[in-house]
Amino acid sequence: MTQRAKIALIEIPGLDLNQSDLDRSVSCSQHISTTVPRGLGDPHVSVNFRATPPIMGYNAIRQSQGPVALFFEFFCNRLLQSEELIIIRYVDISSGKDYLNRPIITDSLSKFFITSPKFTEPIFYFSRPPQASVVIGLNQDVYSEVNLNFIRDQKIQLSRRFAGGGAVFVDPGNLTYVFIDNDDGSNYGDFKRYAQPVISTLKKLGVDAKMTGRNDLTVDGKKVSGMSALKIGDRFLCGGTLMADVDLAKAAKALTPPKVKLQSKGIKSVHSRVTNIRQYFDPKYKNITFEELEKRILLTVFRVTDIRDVPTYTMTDDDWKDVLKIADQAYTGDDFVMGTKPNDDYFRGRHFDGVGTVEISFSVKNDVVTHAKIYGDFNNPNGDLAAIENHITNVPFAKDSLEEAFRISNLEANIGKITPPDMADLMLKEKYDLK
Amino acid sequence: MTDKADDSKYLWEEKTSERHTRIGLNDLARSEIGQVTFAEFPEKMTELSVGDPMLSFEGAKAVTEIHSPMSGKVAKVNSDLIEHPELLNEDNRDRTWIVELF
Repeated sequence: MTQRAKIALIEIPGLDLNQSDLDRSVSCSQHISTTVPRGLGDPHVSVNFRATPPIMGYNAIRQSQGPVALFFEFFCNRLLQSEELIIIRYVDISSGKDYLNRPIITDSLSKFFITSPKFTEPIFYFSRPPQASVVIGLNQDVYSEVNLNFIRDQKIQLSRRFAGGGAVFVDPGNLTYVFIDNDDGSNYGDFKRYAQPVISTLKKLGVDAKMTGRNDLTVDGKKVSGMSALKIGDRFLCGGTLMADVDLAKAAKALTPPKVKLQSKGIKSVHSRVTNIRQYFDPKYKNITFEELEKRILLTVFRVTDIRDVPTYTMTDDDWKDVLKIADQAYTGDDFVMGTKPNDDYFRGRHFDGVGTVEISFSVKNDVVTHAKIYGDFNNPNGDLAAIENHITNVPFAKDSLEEAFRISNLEANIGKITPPDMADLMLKEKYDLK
Repeated sequence: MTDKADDSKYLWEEKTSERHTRIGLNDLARSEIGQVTFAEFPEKMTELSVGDPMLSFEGAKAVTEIHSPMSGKVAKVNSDLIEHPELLNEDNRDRTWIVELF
């Protein structure tokens, strides 16, 4: 806490505060900017709920509001304008090694940090999967995205995340870094801000990583890290996954994305566009361990030179119980992961810039759409896809009728910024065939 | 009603929340057609003008087709009627509508 306050103080010349003032005013740092990356895939979700945080645990310190604290808070809010990443606390999750064997726990953990009243400040943590798994996005068709035979043979776990985004392969060779922060109106979706500490750490290790597109880190044009974001209420996660020693051959075999996505990016295969970052490290860092890498990132995130100065919170048994509760409530078994295998006449898809890939599996009988199911890696957790599917069922398989059906489907709220004519086209034109 | 293009007295029309118009058979039509055992939509029915056929069917008392009372593009057709033509004997607009125009 003190650490954090010190960091904030540096930014405010001429303000003379004693330590108790600083402690009382720690709440302001919550309003300061933030940055955080997390898992893979693509971004942007928001779910409608937010627990009102009761004051407890280390948050108790945020209660008092003396005049000096208010004054200080005012300055902090002004500071908000600067796009600085200020993270309050590192959370050590190593006590949950056994739980993390289940990929669903990783997802539940981030939900816990966003929604639990125990955590209201910006926080940061790492996670590294103990074993290989494929994680698909909320709206994806597992049968077209994943080589199910291969992952069964290789004993690779399969899971579906609560948020949208694309299918990813993770194994102990990648390091996920996650920031949890509060929305200040400008920080949510600002991937660059949350990638910055990682980019600068990599630079010190001799790697010139660049932010490419909206949320990828690339070296030599190859992706070494993907980022994603998830928002629940006013709090969100922004994180990324660094590939260091990932089994790329396995990843390439496990993931079988429909051709549309890769075509949109002008690339031939999954395999050729992602790579491990280790090969780019300066020779003297070639054998750097994950622990050392984590340490270096932590020092950068918290802007300290000694790891002991990083304010650390260790997950307790009670915390893990809460995480397991979230997993149990949300996880509805194999159906949630596998979905229903599409058995339609058509499967067409297209990549829309800024939205992602949208696919429709549908059947047509006597020139009328008789069944439709929408898939994709777009990230819109509140979207009501069933409503759209309803609107396009029983509609003549013709341009005007389909456009009208999509017009009344509120595409922007349910998928993203896509026009009704584009969606009608997607269904009508052979060039979008993915079968 | 058989060969007449103006079937409006046999039909109900209702606006949906999307400002489309749903059309279906009313009591008078049902009493003249009798138990319906088969129904079929015209092919490629994407647009209708007044008097265009919108559904043909076989009833106990009549084998005929019903014509659109208005012009418009077809937003939806009630495909359930093909599988379950007996629905047409019911007086339930949510289940027995024939077409929706816009």
